[in-house]
Amino acid sequence: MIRAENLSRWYGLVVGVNRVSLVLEPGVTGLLGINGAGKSTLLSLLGGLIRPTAGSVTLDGQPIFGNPKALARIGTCPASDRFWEEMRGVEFVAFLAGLSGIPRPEALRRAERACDEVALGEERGKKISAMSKGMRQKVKMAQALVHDPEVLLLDEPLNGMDPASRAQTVAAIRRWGEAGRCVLVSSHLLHEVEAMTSRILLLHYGRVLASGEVPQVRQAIASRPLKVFLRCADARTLASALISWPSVASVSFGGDGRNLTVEVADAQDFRERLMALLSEREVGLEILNPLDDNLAAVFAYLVA
Amino acid sequence: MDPATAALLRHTIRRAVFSVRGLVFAAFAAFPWAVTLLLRILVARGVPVPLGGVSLYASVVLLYLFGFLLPLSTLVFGVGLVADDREGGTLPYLLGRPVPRAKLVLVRFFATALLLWGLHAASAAGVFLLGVSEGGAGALLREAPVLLADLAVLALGVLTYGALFLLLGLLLRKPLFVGLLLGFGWENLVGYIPGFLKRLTLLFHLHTLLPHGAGPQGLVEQMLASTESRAAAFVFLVFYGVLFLVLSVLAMGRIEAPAAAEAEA
Repeated sequence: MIRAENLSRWYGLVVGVNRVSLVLEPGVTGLLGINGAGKSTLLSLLGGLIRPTAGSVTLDGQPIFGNPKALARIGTCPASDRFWEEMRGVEFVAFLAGLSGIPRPEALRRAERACDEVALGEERGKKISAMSKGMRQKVKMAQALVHDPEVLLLDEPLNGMDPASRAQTVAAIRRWGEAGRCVLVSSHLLHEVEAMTSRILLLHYGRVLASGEVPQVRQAIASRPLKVFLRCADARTLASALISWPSVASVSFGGDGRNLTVEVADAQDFRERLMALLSEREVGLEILNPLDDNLAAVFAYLVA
Repeated sequence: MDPATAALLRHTIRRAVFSVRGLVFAAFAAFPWAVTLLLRILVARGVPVPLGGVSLYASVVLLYLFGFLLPLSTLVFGVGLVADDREGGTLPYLLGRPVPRAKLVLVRFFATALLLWGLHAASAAGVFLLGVSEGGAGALLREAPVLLADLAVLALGVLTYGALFLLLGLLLRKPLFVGLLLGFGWENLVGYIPGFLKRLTLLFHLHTLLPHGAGPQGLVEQMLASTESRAAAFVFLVFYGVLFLVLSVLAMGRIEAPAAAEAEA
């Protein structure tokens, strides 16, 4: 697995990544952050494309930069939209398969298979210069996985894709994670990261602000009580019970008087007490929904 | 040959040959054929021309090939070997592959050098055949060793100039300008200054190895006159070539994929 320890990268006086420590495990991890957070820098460091200024990044204990053995196990899909434009899509992928040590006939077969995997159809035979942005993204992804790497680093892979292609790509990324690959996907599109994974790594000004499963991260944001929506037939009775609980910060009514929005300081305690209450009396609970136990809320609370 | 080397060779040759740049330099290489042919036609029509036969051939080799095409072609192709991918944003694809960086740079360098030598060899051989054949088959056979020696020196020139400009391309952000100053400024000026300084040019050593002086009778010989032996010139050139290549390999080992990471920062 890929391990980063106190990983830092500076560009002169500008900090790209600052003392990041992480372990990339099998499955899909979403890498989030605003523009300039350091996502591309981190991906470049993990992919062995740039050297750390301080700290280390290793694959099973081996440094990655300039190490062919490590690079053979990593596939990187860069964010930049640059190619050898005169090449055809499948030819481009086959060339990079060849550079990974795959003999030519097998490289061509694997290139075709990689293009199938990313749903690049007949367009694979076109010159890259004639392809749409979405197709070019698919070519980039195909070259990242043509040599069957254990680790996939995808920098904004959904950029420029139409909704159908996005859905296909999200499904493919999930498949790769489920197959046991370590996949790190950076994206600005929170709802699509949520569709791929619940495990996130949130970067802000080069530092890791949060990492882990979204609900765990959400619970750890102690300064922001969890908001829970309840709708029930006897909202007043429920509200009067809730307000006395130490885990409840506030209760407010809404809608037709049957809606409650509850700010919860301790989700675990609230859940246990609510289950106990519901087993003792009938309040006609219809809906119980966390309002901000999601990626968008986590992102907003931590970054905004 | 391992698959990575084969892939690199195919890619390098294809990009060099099937490009506007390749076409332009093919035209440059063919230009002296046209000049030689024109002079042969003029001679056939009884028009007196200042140069002919082996003198014409030697002038073309010295003034056009060594003075113009060799430094220009090795500059453009040598600098572009890595700089093109850096500027074009395709370096991440190459550096992210499990190919030792030394192999990445050396395979591309030698493939390009072979193509460039072929270009220069075709130019020289074409002028030789068109120019010297005026004297018949006997003249061709008699002067053939001159052509062969020139081809060997051209090979050395391609390798040393190519290695120099490859190094520039790796070290500098805008290597073409410095390369032009070196290739056409330093090389052509300092190479003619009396004293030790000219040994710091490649052109001086290449000229020492050439089997003939040329141009207006004796003038170039006088300008290039030196006491350096051909063995010393060969050693200097090999030293420079190896030095530039070793430095290039070291520089390649440290190069990073640019653009996206820096842009974000």
